[in-house]
Amino acid sequence: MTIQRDDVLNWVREYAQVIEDNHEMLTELDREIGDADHGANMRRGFKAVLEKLPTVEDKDIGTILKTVGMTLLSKVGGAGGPLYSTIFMKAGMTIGAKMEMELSDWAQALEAGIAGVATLGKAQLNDKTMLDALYPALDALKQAIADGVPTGDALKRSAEAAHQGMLATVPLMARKGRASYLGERSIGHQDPGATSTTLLLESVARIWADC
Amino acid sequence: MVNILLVSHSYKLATGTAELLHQMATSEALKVRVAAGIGDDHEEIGTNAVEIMEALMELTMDGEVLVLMDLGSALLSTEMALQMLDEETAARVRMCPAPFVEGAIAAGVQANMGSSLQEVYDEAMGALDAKRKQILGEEETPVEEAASVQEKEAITSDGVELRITVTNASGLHARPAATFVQTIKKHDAKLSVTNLTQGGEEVAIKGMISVMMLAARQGDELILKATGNDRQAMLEELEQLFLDNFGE
Ligand SMILES: Nc1ncnc2c1ncn2[C@@H]1O[C@H](COP(=O)(O)OP(=O)(O)O)[C@@H](O)[C@H]1O
Ligand SMILES: [Mg+2]
Repeated sequence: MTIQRDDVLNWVREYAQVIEDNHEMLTELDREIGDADHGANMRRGFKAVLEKLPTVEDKDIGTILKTVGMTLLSKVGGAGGPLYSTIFMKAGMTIGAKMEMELSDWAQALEAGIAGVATLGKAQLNDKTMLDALYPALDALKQAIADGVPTGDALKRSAEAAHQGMLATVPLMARKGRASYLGERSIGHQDPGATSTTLLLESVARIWADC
Repeated sequence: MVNILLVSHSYKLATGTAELLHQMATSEALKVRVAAGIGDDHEEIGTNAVEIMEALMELTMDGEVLVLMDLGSALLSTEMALQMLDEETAARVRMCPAPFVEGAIAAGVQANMGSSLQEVYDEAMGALDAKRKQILGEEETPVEEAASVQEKEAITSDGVELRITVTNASGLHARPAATFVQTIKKHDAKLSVTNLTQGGEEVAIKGMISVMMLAARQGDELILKATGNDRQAMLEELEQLFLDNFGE
């Protein structure tokens, strides 16, 4: 089966709910090594996304994802704004005017989104950023596709890899973003952006489990 | 005219900085815009790439733009805004890594004089040196060595000199320094200054920063050395400024 336009809409709505349920946790993480706003930023952004979504509900997947990206850009505020916006916009541009897509289309979209984040933020693996969750998730997804794993399981592996990557940010020292001002004091805390991107990929795996 | 965009997480910081800037750079042609804060009234802390993009579109209409940013995500948002602009527009914009407040004011004064984007950028980039020098003293400051040596050679024996004492209360600081530089720019002439009292080197005056380098306080004795066609007229006008205590 393929991933339908409505599955994409449901995923975005689900993630907005996940942010609503977890914004305090994300803000707490950001309090430890940042400025205590990541949850609030994401919440403001996805509230705006939910308001905007009805205007593009009948459009193609690319348009929907680009609209999400544009909305986040003007609403999120922190580094998460341009970074999340890049993920959604690049993914939307890669998928284009499709009403349904294959899992491999999603993998390409994710790859483009992650490349966009790396170009914009100039961070590398182990800099204690969202990339530490995103890169392993992409690798796992591509591997699963190559191994012929069915969609639901492939997405689950990808989400699990993100989760491992997120946990692995704890002992790292931040080299990018606000947390890098803390230097060694950033060690011992989980990166908020890696946490929210893990939630993003976990919601993908839940919502598209039967695709 | 080079226009200036101030990108900050805090609307108060950006508008406050713009206010400081306008005190010293008063030309009506100079456009300074802020893109700062987030939310309907810019009340919340954050930056908005869409707002930055709109400001850049407006400011590039009649000139080039220097952008000063405060912290990390202000940079990301500005880069994102540049990515969204067409190449031609983006090519008229330069991001400047100078410290926000110092850089903005140095850039404003330089832009106010109608300088090129490169000159405005360079001036902003040197903005920290004057502060460094004041706090850390001479030795630890990387002065614009090469530049001042070169310029010095250009000043030959045909120059005219003026020995003068700084009498105004704040010395050659901030606003007087700006007036000083603007007066020089009006003339087809070059100036270098030695602060005898502080025992400093001869400094070629190229912008605000070089004036700040003199660290000239009230009571200091200076030697002003002018070359070029308008040297006499320039020195006379400068002398008048000192005699008028720079209007203080
Ligand atoms: N240069 C960067 N590259 C990749 N990710 C980054 C970068 N800077 C910050 N991040 C991510 O953004 C998260 C912080 O987001 P947020 O709190 O919304 O922004 P801010 O740091 O501006 O307050 C960090 O936990 C990190 O994962
Ligand atoms: Mg933060």
